[in-house]
Amino acid sequence: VLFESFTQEEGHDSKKQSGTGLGLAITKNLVSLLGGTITVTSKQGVGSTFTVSFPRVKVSDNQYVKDLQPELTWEDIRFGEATVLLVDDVEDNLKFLSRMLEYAGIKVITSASAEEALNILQHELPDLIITDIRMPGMDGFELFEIIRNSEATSNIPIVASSASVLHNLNTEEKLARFDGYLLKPIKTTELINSLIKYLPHSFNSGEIAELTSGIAETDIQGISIHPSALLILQQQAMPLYEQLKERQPIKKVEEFGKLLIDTGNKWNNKPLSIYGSEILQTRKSFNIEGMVRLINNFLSYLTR
Amino acid sequence: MPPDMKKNKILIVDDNMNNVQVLAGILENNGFDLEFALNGPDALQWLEDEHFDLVLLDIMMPVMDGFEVCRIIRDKEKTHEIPIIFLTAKTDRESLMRGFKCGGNDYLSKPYDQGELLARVNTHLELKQSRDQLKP
Repeated sequence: VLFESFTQEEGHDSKKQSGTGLGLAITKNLVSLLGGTITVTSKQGVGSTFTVSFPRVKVSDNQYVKDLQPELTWEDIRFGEATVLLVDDVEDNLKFLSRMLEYAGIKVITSASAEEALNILQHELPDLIITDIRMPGMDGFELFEIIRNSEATSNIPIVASSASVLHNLNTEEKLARFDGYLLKPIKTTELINSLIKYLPHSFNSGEIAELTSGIAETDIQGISIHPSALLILQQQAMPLYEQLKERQPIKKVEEFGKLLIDTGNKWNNKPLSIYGSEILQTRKSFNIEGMVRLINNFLSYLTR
Repeated sequence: MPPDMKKNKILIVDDNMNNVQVLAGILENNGFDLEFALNGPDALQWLEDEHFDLVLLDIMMPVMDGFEVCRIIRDKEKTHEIPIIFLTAKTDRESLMRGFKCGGNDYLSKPYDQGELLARVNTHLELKQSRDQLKP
């Protein structure tokens, strides 16, 4: 009976435990689709142990191969002083998220229900709220409405986190009003992307530092800029640089980056091309801090 | 947007580069041309040099605050009709009223809601166009 659809233990408090009664049925189907078995031992008043076993599982030997796509990691970012309020009825979720956030130096307040969260908001205003949607008692949507409609809290960004992909038009509409949406299990990059939208932070300039040190290295090794390339840099790039030092018109930044890439490609100067494409990247993402820093590095090219 | 239609050009004025990044990203994705200035004097220089259809103006800035920038924009013949939307960290009534008094058309409170940002920007661009058409 335990593994059948839509069956649930009778007599429990639906406020404390609620669900569709599908969890174990789905689990059993998934496990058998993967060729495994699921068994249970249970003792009243003590607890239940579910054992899932998969025989003859092949193990990949390249599990340590890193994703080629550069994704933001905690090491790329330093967060300023900030407090995040987490709302989730599942303790493990709270623990998992708060560990990640605390690791990033963010202060975390946890609450196990929407009601508790509202109490906390009476005396503490966080910089961001991440809330579960499906919770017993008041759900995430109701919580959202109350926070938004109260003057003291209406400006706090609220990100929803939920395990279910909701295809219901009504819930999708409600979710769209949130400042962000994190699908559980929450991916680190997605979490970071949400956080940097709303919390004070600065990027560790690892990439840029690496780039400039690369340029410095070629310097030392004595790979000089081709005289024709140098002429282009002096006659065309230099006047642009003079303008860009003062302010950064978008079109001029593009022009500058492209000129450096083209010149680098034409005269086989790879660091120059990389430098140019870095500038274009900062322009594309409007990373102005990086853009200004890169442009200011230009002189290290000519003063040699 | 059809390719032959002229893009509206917006000047973002904010000393916080992250705010500029967020606003610029949203606006560019929605077909606007833009430039940014990180302080008031730079913003005024931009407006002196080029035509803009709308200004998004932060209030709390060092050197020259948004109210001051707004007053100067309104005083100049060339720019006195340009729509100005203030960017405020809080919907603090007092500064809001100051913003309207010195010639601001509207305000947006941080954190920005993308829909609201675009709606307000578009409304003021349309209003400006209608006003221009009404002129003899």
